Amino acid sequence: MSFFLLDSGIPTAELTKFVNFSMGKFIPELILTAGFLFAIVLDLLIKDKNAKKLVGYFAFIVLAAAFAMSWDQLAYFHGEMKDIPKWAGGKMIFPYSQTLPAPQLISPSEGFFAPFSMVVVDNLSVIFKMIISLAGMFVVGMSLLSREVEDRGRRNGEFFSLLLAMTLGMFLMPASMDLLMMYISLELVSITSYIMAGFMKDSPRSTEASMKYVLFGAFSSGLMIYGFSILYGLTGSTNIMAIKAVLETQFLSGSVNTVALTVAVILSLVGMGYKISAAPFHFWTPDVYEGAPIPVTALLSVASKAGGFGLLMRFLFFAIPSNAQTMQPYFNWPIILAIMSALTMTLGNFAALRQSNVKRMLAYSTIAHAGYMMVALVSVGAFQRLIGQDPGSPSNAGITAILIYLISYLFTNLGAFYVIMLIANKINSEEIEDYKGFAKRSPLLAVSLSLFLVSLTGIPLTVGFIGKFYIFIAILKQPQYLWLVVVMALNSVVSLYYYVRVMQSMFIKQADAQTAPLLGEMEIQADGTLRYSMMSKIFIFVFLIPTILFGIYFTPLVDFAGNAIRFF
Amino acid sequence: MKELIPYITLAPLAGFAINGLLGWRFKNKQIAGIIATLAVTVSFVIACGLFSEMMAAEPEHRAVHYKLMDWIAVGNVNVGISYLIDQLSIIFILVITGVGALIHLYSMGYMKGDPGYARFFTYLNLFIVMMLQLVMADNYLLTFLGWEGVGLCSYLLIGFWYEEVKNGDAAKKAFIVNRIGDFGFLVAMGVMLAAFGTLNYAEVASSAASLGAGASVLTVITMMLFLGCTGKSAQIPLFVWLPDAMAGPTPVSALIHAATMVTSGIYLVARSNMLFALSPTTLTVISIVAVCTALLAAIMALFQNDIKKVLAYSTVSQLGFMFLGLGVGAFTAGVFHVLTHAFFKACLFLGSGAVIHAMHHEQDMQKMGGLKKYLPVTFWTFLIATIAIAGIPPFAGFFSKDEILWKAFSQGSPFLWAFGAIAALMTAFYMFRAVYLTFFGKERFDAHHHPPHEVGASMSIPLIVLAVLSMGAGLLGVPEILGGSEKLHHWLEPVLGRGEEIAASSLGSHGEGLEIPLMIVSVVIALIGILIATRYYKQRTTLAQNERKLGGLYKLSYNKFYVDEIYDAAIVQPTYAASNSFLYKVVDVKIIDGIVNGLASTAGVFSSLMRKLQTGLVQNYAVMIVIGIVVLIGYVLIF
Repeated sequence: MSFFLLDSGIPTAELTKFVNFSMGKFIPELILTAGFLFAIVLDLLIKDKNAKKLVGYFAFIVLAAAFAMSWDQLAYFHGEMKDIPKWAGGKMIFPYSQTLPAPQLISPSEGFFAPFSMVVVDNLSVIFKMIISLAGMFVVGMSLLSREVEDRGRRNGEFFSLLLAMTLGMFLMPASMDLLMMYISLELVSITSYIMAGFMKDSPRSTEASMKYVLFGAFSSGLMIYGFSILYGLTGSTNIMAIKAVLETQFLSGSVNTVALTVAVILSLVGMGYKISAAPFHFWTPDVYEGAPIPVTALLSVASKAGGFGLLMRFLFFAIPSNAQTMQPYFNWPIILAIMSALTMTLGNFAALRQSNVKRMLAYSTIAHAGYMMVALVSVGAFQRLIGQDPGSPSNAGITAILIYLISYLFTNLGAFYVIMLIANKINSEEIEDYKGFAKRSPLLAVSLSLFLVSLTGIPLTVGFIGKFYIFIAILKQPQYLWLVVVMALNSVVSLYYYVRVMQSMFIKQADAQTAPLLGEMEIQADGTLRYSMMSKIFIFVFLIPTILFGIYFTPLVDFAGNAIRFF
Repeated sequence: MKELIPYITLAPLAGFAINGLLGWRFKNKQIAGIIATLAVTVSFVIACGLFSEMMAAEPEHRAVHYKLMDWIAVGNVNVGISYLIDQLSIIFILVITGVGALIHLYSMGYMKGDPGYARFFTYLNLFIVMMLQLVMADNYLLTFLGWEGVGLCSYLLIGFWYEEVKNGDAAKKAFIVNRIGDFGFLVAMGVMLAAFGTLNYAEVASSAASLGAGASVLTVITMMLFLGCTGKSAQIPLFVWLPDAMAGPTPVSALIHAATMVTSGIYLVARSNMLFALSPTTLTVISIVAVCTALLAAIMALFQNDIKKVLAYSTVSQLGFMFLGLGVGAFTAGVFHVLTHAFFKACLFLGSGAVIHAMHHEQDMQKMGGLKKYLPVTFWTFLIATIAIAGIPPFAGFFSKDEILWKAFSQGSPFLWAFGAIAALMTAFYMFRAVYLTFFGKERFDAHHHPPHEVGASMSIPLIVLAVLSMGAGLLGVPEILGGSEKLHHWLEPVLGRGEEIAASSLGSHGEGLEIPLMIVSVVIALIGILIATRYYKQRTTLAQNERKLGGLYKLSYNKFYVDEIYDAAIVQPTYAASNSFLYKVVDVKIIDGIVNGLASTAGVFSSLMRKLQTGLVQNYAVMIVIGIVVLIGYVLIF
């Protein structure tokens, strides 16, 4: 195909410059890689098992550096984007792709543009990286305060170094422009998460979770790479931009193989659907979330899900061509996502209703939240052609909404898991029954957990409401998906029930003989409340303040998320 | 100075935060009061700086726009936390922070030893913050935020001594009655958004001007805004909460329920003068409601024996005067009366607080008398403020009230003037009645065991300052006909001038040459009121006999026209009965609960089904995935 053989004619000297230049855009990932390797060495150097926590502090610094460097890559814009060159913010790296000989040079003044690359740096991927590294920092903080992790002090080093490796994988997921890169990054995340889910290898529950995760993950990613291979067979390329170009010519000429394409796309969706736990690929979620240590569960529920969404967005928006007249994609992926999201929300919420374990309940609730976020993705589909064109276009509203939701979810969900972890530290249980009368044991924890749950429900004056509100705005621009709005609204109502049950147990019920005893009598202070270190109390506010603040003053959040539509 | 604008609100906000979070920890309780008072003083100083800068500037360059940040940006609506400091708002800011600072200072003495000392100052600072938002906002929504905020603070402070049920009830009453008014404000904003697509004051005014006079949408907006004002500024029919609001500590009555919050309705109308000027219907409604309120409340005040109740009804009546001014298109006169009223009414309330303080929390004037010799400072300041409110020149109240009455005559009708004049007569009467009952005559209390004591410096300084202002503030608006320069008119001209012109042209003007005779008539009327009060109360030893001779009128007045009882029978009881017998027992229990419980059990069944899918066996999960894939592929290929 002549399309692929476009020779840029760039002299070799220029190319070298370009490669050097592009490595500079890879600094956050390089920091993580170096940090991962150094963390392993550090772990080996530290003999004292109580000092292994140092690796955790080191991991925190690495993640903070990655966060800062990612932030540095963000191209801010305010309001109009007309006068800005379309890909001025989207700087490309890794020009070399398996299927392509060379990068494309647009014009010397505008810099280099290589659509056929492995990994890109644009605002979409940068914002995802920021969300993921922030989640990683929070989870490191949580882990340092977690009894489950602390009790296994000897292996803390590997825990934190794996966390860095996983973050690296999650950094690459939303930035991937090539099917191979997508698969590799997904596997990097998956394999590290298998190990981390089974971190408490002395606990049967944790080991079982890890085993199920491996089997399920292997099955899903197998199906996904099968889908990828069909896609490669159809188009002759693994680069999604190239795939899009080929598919577009095929659709225009009518030579497309619809059956094969459908099978390929849906099989590819399996792997991504499994990462974001979308029904019917969500079955691993409750089992793994319940068995894994709480910080790992928190990481999986926020960061790994964010990475999955980044990957899914990249794949759907870039690999599938759209019609220039109707603006809609040639292959009707929005309807598949709409069905999946309705199924995901309903399954997640209704299964959560009867759960007796808070962690398992939250696992189902994260499934439901994935469903809400998929609604935002659906809203992009109807105007896929307009993506990145104009800030006010309906497709961009969906992209902004999903990022607002992810950020709101980052603070709220991590906060909820964090408080549950603090509670489990003292009573070694996550059963709702054991939360009876907890408001008396620790008013601060009970109130903050309630606020997080209120935000998860999406009640105004919390950031959760803002997230849901923008999703509603985005989807309401597509009248044909009105039914999805109804499903989502009803689901939000259902979700209130199980969130309130936790509050009811904490505030209204009284502790009785059946309530789990404390791990030690030492834990009770003079005034009858539980003893928590100052650090662990302060850390609650890291989640609580944004949850409330962004719920009231949300313009900065919306502006920030709005930057994401700057991709090429 | 411009960059200091946010600190006007941030200073009391900081005071609120410090006292609210740490107040209960202060070893020395006085610190809370000092912090709060300093915070408001800082705001006042900044406001003074701004004011002097504005004075130096050309009239058309005086208004300052300051955008702090974006607040809500959804679709085409962009509402910012942005402030508009112009000739109108600076006057209110100066009154709020100036009188506010004085009352804070006074409260430091008045609230001494109260267990809720820090809590009191926390609320008071929050009130100042909210009140400033209300007047500084450049859009209706931010004003509404302040509007609701001051309502909240008012509720908290009326029920400050919440151990007593009646205080809690008064607070609830204030809150609920205000909600009815707030509903009107909300509807007005909704209509504005629908009609003009903006909530910014300037943009709404210019859109309204392009619609022309008498447009029905403007009538709806202004009527709804006025409904809001009847709640907040205690006009008929929503004035009933204000007398009960006297359950709060007296400084609160002075600050919130006399000088500032209750005048926010006047501010809102003056700020929206263009809209109101273009709606002659609304203006007519306002002037009728206002004059009725002024008269009715004055009658109610005639024979009250609780010193604070007298002042409360007097406030309602004076607010009626202010609205009368607005209703006849004399926006400046309304604002002028807000200004003078703030000084003399705050002085009267603080004076009454000093009396109550001295009398060990006795509020019944029947049990006072002869306090002149015990409380000289309080007496003299109270007397000055009383002369001011009675309308004796050259004290402040004369000029503002007379301007309103003159405009009511010339731009309204002789009837409005006549009713207003009767209300003024009564004002002079009941205020001097209160002075005589409290400070003259025989001592009707046990002076030996509990001798009344004069207040300390922190309470007497505010009294003296306010008394001086009550004497002198009228000079700002000496009418031209008396050789004055009408400084306030020229100052407010850029903001209110257009509205006044439009209103005057639609209302017409008559009575040329009668200004001086009418002025003399109103002075004579005030003197008659004072003479009657002197005749009957100055040296009385036995009270209330002459009053009872009046029979029906006395009973009606003493029982406040039974308004509370009528509302109770006509609105509260039927609502309660309907909600209990129908809405609760039928709609809620049978219909709603039935549906909800039914849905809940359905959801429960559904939930159990869902749980069955989660078998815990990985091979089953794999099967589910395959089924899912097949179904999805099938769906896409078939449809």
